[in-house]
Amino acid sequence: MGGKADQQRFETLWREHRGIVLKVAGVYARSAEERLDLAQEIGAQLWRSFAAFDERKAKFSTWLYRIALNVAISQLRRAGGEAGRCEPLDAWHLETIAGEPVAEPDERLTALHAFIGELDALNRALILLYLEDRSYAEIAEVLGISATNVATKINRIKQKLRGRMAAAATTGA
Amino acid sequence: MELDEMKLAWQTLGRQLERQNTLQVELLRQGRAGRLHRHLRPLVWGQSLLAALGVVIMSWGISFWSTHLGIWQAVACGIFMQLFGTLAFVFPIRLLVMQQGIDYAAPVLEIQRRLTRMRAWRVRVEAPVFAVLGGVVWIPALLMWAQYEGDRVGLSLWQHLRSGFMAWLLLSVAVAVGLVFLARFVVRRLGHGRWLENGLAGGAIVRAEAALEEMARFERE
Repeated sequence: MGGKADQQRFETLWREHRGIVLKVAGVYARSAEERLDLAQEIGAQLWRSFAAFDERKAKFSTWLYRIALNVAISQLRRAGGEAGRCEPLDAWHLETIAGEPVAEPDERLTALHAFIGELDALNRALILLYLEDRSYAEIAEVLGISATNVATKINRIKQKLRGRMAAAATTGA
Repeated sequence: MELDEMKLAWQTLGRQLERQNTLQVELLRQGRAGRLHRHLRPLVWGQSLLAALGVVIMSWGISFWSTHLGIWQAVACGIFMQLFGTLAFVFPIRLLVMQQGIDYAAPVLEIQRRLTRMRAWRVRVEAPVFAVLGGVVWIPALLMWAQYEGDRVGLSLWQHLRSGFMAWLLLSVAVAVGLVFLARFVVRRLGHGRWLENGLAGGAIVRAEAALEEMARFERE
């Protein structure tokens, strides 16, 4: 396949999937500026690796998640490890990431990002893929663990979340 | 809020983000944004410079001992310099080759483990080796320079050294190594620990090991 064809194919796939890149950046970067930086970093790595992408070996989404998560986790570790907690992703942040206003801030999103921010880098990846509605098999393929392991971990995270919600309800009462 | 309810919130976010156009494919393709890979550029330049310096030092060491084969002290100085130069060449080249060989499309756990091991090797092996060797390398360098001067005036340097020279040499090595540790202590005390960690060793080892442990736990549980 020639360079031009590759370029067009990449552009098409990029348009379809760039939301994923922004969501990964939102989960791993601390400030709005870092999020944009990270999203561009991921995009640049995707473009560089695109020539080696073989759809017979992996689905495009699997390939994209692997690269996006590898770049994001590497950057997080370089920046100082787990000190890099997530800030709540509110409307202001979304506006700054995307350069366009977001109509309605969603309280659920703020709570969601606060919860994700408490997880370590690998569990963040796991929960992100779960929220993206990926199958356990695909999550396992992206992360390099077994599907059974994925199921166990997701159940644990669900329990942790329930515990947290119960504690919040008790405190609020 | 249950996790499944969170999924709905996440999908709302997805729909919002799909409408945004900030990440232009043009920018990514051309890679013209200066900030892209800004952290990699200093690494590549720094390591290339270090490797080039290593070749120069290595060549100097070899040329020195090969022209002074009859004087064992001079040969020892030359070999020490060659060893230092070889390490200064091999370590950065190894890092650059490993960095280039990383396929980000491989499973997350595998790549993260490899990257963390690379970092752990740097802080656990490379940084202490360079700190100690770098702290004492001036001694053979000084002796080699003195030997050149001796060669120039036709004087045998080693025969004219005073009897306390060996004691001075050992003391210098001890002081130089002590200064390395003192400098490390002072930098950390002055609040530049993070800079030191990123550049040399210290907490970076702890972080790298913690990350490896985190990965092992993630895989195990």
